[in-house]
Amino acid sequence: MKNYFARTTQERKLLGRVDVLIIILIAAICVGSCVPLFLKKGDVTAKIIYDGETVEEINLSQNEKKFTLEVGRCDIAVEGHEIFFANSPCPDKVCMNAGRLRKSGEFASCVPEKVAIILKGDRKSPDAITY
Amino acid sequence: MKSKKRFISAAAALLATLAIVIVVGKDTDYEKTSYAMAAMTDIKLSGSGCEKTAEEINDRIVECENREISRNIASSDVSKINSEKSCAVSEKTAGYIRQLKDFSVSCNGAVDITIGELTRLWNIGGDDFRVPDAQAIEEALSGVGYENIAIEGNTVTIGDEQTLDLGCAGKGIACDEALGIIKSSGVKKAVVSVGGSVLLWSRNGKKEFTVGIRDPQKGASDYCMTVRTGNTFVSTSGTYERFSVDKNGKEYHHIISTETGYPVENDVLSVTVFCENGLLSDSLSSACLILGYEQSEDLLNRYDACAVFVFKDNTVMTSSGFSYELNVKDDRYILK
Repeated sequence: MKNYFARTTQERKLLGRVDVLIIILIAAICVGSCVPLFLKKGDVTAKIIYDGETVEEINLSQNEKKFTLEVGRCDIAVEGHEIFFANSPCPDKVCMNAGRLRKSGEFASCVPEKVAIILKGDRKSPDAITY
Repeated sequence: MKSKKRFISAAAALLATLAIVIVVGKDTDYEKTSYAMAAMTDIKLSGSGCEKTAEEINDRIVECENREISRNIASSDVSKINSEKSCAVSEKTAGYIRQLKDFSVSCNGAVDITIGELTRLWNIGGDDFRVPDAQAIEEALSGVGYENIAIEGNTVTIGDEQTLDLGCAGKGIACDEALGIIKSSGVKKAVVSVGGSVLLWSRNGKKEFTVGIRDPQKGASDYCMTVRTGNTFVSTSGTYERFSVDKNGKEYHHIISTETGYPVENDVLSVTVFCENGLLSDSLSSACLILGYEQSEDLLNRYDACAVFVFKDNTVMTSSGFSYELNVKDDRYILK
């Protein structure tokens, strides 16, 4: 019977121990570089932007607390997996009327105060929303 | 000798892998969110040199507002025209005004950039809103008339009683400017939103974008339908966007009729226009909302554009030239 586990001299030449180590190393680099792509999915993160700069990032999926953040002249409330504009001195209150945000792709913005909340997470939301 | 060969091939394989990782890394999405033109801007890019390109786009949008089209910034070209009534401006500003005058001719003045006195009077969305008195509206209305704009070279002249307001096209112009920068960069795919006006562009030109149309009865990020498109500019005008409420609780939206001097009242809630030019998609969405479905048809066809109309009775209609894939996500809306 042929022994499939026995390595011929030629096979040994083709795939030595060092070669196997190199292959494992390369595979590890490839897999490692792909990990962030998979991590992007799943959790919903709220980015709070003030005057073009991200000032806070909150993982809403993991959050169970209730707290308020003061961003510029706006109050942003976080309650568990939801985030919303609790107060703003702007005249039209469009930001407060946006209501509670919880899903990836949702956003609310207070243009006069230059404060925005953008929810990031899975990639199923449209590329853009026209309004 | 053998181990030397093996070392060289191992090093080469590692370098190749690292190169792939670096190239893939460069293709990672880059996003910049900021504010310009009284709106939130969102720039999402893929390809190489994204961060630098996003900064360039952002700077250009701010420059376009400050130097060219803002009526609220004293140093801008439009402000100079408004105060001096006749002056030389940059080639870009003269070009925008020329295009918008031509557009006014096409839509019989439904959209007219000489509406500035009326929009100032209404001050929709402003701090101290109150309905202007009828006589003041009548006086402001008498100054509206694109026919009085004269453009010779880069010199723009308007009537003594006139004030320019490029608000109907500003965000679309910003998207046009963004595309100019993107095309000469290493960017492969771009989604640029300035307020609700959007540029969707990929170097391969494939139909690979999904754009959500805002639910007119919900918040800005709630969409009631999606459209699958290729490279295009998209703009929406709606009666829900920027409005004020008077002391009796009546709402007044920001799209003012050049015929009556009051916010437009008809059966349309929102119009979303798809077009190959940002200035036009923005102007067309306002014009279509003012004109209504039937009267918009010829105008849209003239500019090779198409549109989705959402009506107050929750019905949805597309213009005859609409060939994109439309999916209604909310069964309150009925596609006719």
